[in-house]
Amino acid sequence: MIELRNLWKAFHHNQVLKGIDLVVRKGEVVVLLGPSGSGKSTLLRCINYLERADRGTIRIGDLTVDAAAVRRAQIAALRRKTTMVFQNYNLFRNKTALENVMEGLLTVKGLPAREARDRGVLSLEKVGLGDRFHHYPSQLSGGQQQRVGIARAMAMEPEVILFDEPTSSLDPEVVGGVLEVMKGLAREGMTMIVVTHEMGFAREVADQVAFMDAGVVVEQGTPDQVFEQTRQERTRLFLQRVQRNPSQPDAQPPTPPAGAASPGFRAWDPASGTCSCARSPAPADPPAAWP
Amino acid sequence: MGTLFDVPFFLSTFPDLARAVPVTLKITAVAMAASLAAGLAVALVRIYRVPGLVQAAAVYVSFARGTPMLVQIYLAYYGIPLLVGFLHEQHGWNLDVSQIPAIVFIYFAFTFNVAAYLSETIRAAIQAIDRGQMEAALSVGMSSLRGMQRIVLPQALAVALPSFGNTVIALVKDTSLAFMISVVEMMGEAKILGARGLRFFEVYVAVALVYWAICIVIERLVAAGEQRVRRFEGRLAVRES
Repeated sequence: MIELRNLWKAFHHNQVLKGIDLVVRKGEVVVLLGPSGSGKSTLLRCINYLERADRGTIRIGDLTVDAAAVRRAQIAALRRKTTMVFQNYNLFRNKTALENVMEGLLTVKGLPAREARDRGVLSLEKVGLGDRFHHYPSQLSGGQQQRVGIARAMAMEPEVILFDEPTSSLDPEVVGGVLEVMKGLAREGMTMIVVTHEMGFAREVADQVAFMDAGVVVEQGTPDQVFEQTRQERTRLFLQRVQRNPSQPDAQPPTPPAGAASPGFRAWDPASGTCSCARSPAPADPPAAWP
Repeated sequence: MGTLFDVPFFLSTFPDLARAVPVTLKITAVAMAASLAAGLAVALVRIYRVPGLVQAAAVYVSFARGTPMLVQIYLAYYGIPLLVGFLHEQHGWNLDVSQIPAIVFIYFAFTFNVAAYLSETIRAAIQAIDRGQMEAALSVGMSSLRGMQRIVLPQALAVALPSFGNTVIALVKDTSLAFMISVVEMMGEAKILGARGLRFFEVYVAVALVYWAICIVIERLVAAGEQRVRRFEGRLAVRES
């Protein structure tokens, strides 16, 4: 089980996470939705400790880390329980597909070479790359690279795999293949937190959907609850936008220019010209693409 | 008035020059190896901004690159004995300066100089590697040291190798300065031979050819090494870059 309590993170003066609470039960798939800049990726990166949260606690299994007083050994322990699948794959460029998967098994888990190789082969076969063991990343397509990325993450047998927009860099025709691999993992009971704009995946696979905006979890529930019985206006607006323009789901929802609205208003309904809710302060920077 | 170019004398110098080749290569190899280690250390200090050391590193690199090699050789030659003598008096260290062969000062001087250049090459090469590579290493649980050693540095080597090759070639040629403190490497040998035969032009042509030959061999070796360390980049990556 994973439990985040009151997680805060700022980059300089930009408060990106504002007290995130999230509970993920073992074997669950949680999909994080939200506009770009809402803090989804930062949240994932804090769980993997690629970013240091300023305060709050992260509990994974029997390990609880207090971000305000974290020790080196705790970070190392936390990273061993989590692995990340990156938007840009980030395969080790100097290693073949098989070596990519074996690397952590050898250096972190300390497995003997033979065992690491067997496990690496198994993982790659599972993601359908049984014929690409000795290819370097530069010789693989994007979809293949991402499947190696997933194989690398799952071979470590972490308690949770964090997917940071795993299909956003892929050509549309290979997205399906990568999602299939992820669905397979979910069926096997892997705990997953997935930042994605693939609504189909969220509906079909997620146990929980959490909608984030401006550093807070605005709404959370089963896919049915979030998609069909949307409670929050901000969520509804985002879902509308995504469905209207699925090619650019990451586009910022229109926000009133700084000063045009009282602080605390974030979501802006351009049709009616009204602000719809008052949960969080306005973003520090107005969106670049203000119309 | 003798001949324009004394071919027999010219040819007769090669065996003697050849005997000095190992000295030149030894200086090159020792200085290059020590510089790689020191340069990497300096580069890491500057990349990770190690408090206290980062300013010292910046001053060192600036000084080493901003003063002539010959001056640095003299500084090592006269400065190190002073320092050793001082320590000898202060701490009763049992070091006798006169026992230190001149070539040791040359090792120090060249390492001091070349490490500064290499540190910049290495720093640029490491910084050219996508951050995501280190993040991926951390994400599977590797320490940043391990990630550096197994993921980032091998890739940085591929970036830096051509530049290392240039540095080695420059170093081979610079070793000709070692004779200024009477280390008899190739250039020193050439001067001795020229003085003995009273024919300097022939011997300098000969020594030029030997330097050139050495540098050609090094170029070939570096090119072969490049093939090896870049094999992971594949055709696609080459087109990208």
